[in-house]
Amino acid sequence: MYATGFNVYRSFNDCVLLDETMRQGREEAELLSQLLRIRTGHATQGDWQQLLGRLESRQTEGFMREFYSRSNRAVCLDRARATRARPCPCIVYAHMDMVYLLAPTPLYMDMVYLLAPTPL
Amino acid sequence: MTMRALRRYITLYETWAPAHQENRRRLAMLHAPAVMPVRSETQGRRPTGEDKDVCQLPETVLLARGARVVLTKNQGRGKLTCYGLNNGAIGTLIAVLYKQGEGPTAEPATGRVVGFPEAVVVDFPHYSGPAWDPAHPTWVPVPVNEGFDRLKGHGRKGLPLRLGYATVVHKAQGMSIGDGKPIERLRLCLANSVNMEASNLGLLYVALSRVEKFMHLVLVDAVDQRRVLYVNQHPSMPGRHAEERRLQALSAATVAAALERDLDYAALLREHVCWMRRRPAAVAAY
Repeated sequence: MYATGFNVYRSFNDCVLLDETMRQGREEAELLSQLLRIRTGHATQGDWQQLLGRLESRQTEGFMREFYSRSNRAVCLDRARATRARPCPCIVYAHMDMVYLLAPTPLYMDMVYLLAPTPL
Repeated sequence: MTMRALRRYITLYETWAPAHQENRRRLAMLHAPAVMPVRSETQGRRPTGEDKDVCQLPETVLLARGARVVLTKNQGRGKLTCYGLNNGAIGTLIAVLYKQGEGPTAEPATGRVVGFPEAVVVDFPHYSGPAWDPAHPTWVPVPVNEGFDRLKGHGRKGLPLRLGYATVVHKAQGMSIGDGKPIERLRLCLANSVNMEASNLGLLYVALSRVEKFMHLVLVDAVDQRRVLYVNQHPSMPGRHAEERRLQALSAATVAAALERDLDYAALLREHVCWMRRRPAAVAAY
């Protein structure tokens, strides 16, 4: 199967190379060139040294505090609010390949909502 | 009660065992009131991969309110990927849904939860499809998935979710990490030897290139200098260079032929983008 796939790949003659990196912006030229060297097999000792500069142990306490405290978007899961927020009558929405669901009714357990059978 | 704020960093490992361990550690830090393990049902041959996935469905998923989860499989047979429900999408677990009168039941002998919930509601911040709950348009009910791999002779029924605090570099391909992204910072845990790079050329590059800026990355342990320089001497590198030269020649020929035929690639691209924009409407009508 691998050989068949490879042969199909080799049989393509129309090819357009996309050569712009979109993830790292132009202001990150140094990182871009370093990554390119690592990808193409031209990594230098300087690249290694720079990499070591990113060691946790070499970062300042303030930087690491900021690093680990990037908080998630607040997700309020207050039991009362969750119940209040539900529209009534419940909205029924069917995703493709997904079961038909009613918006949850009373809480069954601390983390489990009930699901009412839905005639559709 | 507001959920304790979650950290928006991810830890990447080279193998699954430490990634699972980190996921469990971070889940414990969440102080969730309840953690429910949902075990998949597997038929046929035993899976051999390190992650024990069958049809992209993990063996067990730990569910807890507020936990960060990752979709392991495109939803809606790929038709919902345009809404952001693709393999690798990151979300926060909101609720577990059961049919009325049903609930999680435990095996008396082991205490293990048996049976499946009807669905699991996950908040995917980048979901852009029709709203299940208009009050929370990014909440999506993820149902139990089933699949059978004829080639490998096994199938599985389970939830297409995995905890998303840590994963392996292979699974992180395509992930962008930076400000404003679902994951903002990267903690990288690489082995201090050349072995992994020897068997997976490009692993170091994939891991490092996930971040938008160098300051979004920290290394847990030092990387051996030999590993960085080993990339240069990897036996596959000459073959890769030869292939890149072949593709460059093909690309030059393709572009030249297109110019001769007055083919406007920009116009083709615009047409493709228009088609992609129309696609959600077509999917919704399905």
